[in-house]
Amino acid sequence: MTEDTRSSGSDDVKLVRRALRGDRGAFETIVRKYQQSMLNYVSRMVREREMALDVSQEVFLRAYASLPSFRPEYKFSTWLFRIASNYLIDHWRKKKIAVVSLDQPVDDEDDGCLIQVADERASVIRDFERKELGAKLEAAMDRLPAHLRELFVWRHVNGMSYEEMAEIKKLPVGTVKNRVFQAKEMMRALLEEASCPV
Amino acid sequence: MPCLTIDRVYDYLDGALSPVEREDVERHLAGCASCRKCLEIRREIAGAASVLPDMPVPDDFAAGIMAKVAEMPAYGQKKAVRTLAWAAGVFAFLASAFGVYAFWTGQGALVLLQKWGGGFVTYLQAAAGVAAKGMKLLILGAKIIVDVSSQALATLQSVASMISPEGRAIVAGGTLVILFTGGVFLRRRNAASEKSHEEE
Repeated sequence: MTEDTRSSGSDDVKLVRRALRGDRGAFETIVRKYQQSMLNYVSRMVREREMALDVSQEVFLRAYASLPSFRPEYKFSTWLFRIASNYLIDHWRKKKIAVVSLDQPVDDEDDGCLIQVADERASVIRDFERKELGAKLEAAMDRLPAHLRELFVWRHVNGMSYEEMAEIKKLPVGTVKNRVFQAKEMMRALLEEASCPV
Repeated sequence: MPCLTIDRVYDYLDGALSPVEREDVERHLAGCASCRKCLEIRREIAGAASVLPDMPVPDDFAAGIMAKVAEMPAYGQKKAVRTLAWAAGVFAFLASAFGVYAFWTGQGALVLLQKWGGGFVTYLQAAAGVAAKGMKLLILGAKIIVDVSSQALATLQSVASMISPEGRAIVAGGTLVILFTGGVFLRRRNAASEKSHEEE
């Protein structure tokens, strides 16, 4: 999560209450607070910039329309990202885009699903400058299945905790943790594959 | 200690290990180049991912959203619209019920309205009369309280003016002593009466 989104949830609750009393400015404050983290997430899920902007806009409008259903005992950011995640699932379902669904079940009990790539292979990471690595990471992220990419982005780009992600996806923390591990191992394998063409 | 599992490496990087477990991992890492390398690769990927550039937010992004939000009814208005809708619904129901009743009894709607309306006006007049009388009584009561209070205050002031400052101090002191002694006496009497009750 960005610095802004980490700020106290009580401010968010106050803003939501004001918006529910008809203060649209309060909702604008919410939009400005979360627009960066939302775009960082959505842009890595849909890739096309224009579509990312449209989807993010639609997520905020859905959030506005659903404000009465927000319960103050939960974090606003968690609620907002759940709307975004569900929106992306619907979006892909409607468009029938051939991607792995975000809610696709995976066999989390099977430790063997962690991709085993030999660590003994020459470390490619040292060959990259950080910027180059960033570009490679973005490219590798594109190749992750959507349900793993989402968690990887939340964890490493948005800086969410496993507990927050579990709350958004309504999954046990252990399951989320396992999937994040899978995503990281896949990323590592993809990076190594990209830098060591056979 | 055997080589670290991948889960162990990630738990170490996430800071999810207990101090003892952490020490164990660090002791192993100190003597195992392979695990050190494995850890470094993952640390580097996580580090690079956490500093990926933000997607630029267009200056008019929030404004664009707010323009669409402005087309939706604001929540305050939504409530007012809901209240109006309810009121309209209740009115429509009552009007329909009235129409059905008028039809059922075979009386003209206007005749019924005059009959009921007349009764309602009489009721309103009676209620207003009672409210006016109540207000008059309240005002009278307030006047009496004000008069009596001002009279008592004037009497006290004139009595006080007749007594010298020393005399006032003596009266005040005496009053306090009487109150205190009276209080003590009453307390003892109550205690004695409670004791006799208990003995009974």
